[in-house]
Amino acid sequence: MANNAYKLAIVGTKDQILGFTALGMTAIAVNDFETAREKILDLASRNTEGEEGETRREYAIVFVMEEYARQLTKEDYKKINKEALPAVIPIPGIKGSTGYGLERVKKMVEQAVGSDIFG
Amino acid sequence: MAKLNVNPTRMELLNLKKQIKTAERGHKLLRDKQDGLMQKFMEIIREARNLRKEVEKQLQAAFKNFVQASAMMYPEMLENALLYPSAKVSLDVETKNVMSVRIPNFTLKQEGNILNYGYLQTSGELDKALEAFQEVLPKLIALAEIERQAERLAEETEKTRRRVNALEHMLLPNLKETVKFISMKLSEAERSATTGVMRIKASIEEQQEEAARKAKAA
Repeated sequence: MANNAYKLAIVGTKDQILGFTALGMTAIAVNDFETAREKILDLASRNTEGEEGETRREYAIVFVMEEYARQLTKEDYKKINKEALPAVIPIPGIKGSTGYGLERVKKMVEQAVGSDIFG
Repeated sequence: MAKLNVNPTRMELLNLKKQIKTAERGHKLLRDKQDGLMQKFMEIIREARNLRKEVEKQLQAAFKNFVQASAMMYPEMLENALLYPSAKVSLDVETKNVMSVRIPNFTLKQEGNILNYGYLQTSGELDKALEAFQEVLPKLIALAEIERQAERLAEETEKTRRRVNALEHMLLPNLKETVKFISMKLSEAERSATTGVMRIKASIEEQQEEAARKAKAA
């Protein structure tokens, strides 16, 4: 597939991702964290051929249900974040937000500034 | 503060002074970079926080609709209805360069109809639920973009801060200390050489005086 269209994916439990299938995302249903982790790492490292024949990431964004995103370790994130893409973004599931997404933003502030300035 | 392990020679001194100059210039550049990154990061992170709050709220509403819709249908029917979407989403990605950090910009491309199923076996609620999802999608993409940017910038800011600190608190003081040490050592050697010469001169003069006195006496 040699074009400039990046794909979107979502990883989560079946009932949560079904709605996104209809939108045309690659939806991957998982039932436990181990498989979720495997799938996320796989999606994040998958390459394809770009417009000018260069290799690039196949997926631009991988949405991950919060409950799974929360369990990913630092090493996992290091593997995922090696390049500019893809963006692995936690989103809240059916049960509602657990606050992990905001926590993540807070962590970024801490990393960049050295302390949490928003409190 | 530890001085570096070098020989106290004039050559080393010159080298070290050159190194200090380079380190100072690097330090200044890196500090400017850090300031630039921080400014950009602050711009983005506020927006990211607000956007995330908004998206999470909206998403929850969408999920609620969806759960209601799916409760009114047989699970198999629901799956059948949604399994083969005709809608397609993809992204155009451009990378921008901010302070030598490459950050992505997403543009959403959508085609096809999301309501791609027979109306007979599905409920109107499902249509609504999917429409709600459809509505969140652009915001989700925007959120992904901005969070990824923030993430990249945070990483780079941290790295730059470490470098600035390493230069400021380790390398530069060490270099300066060593330069001080060498110049002290050199001037000490100089003084010792001068006193040595003076001593020798004094002893030679003494000998000459002695010789002169002896010659007079004789």
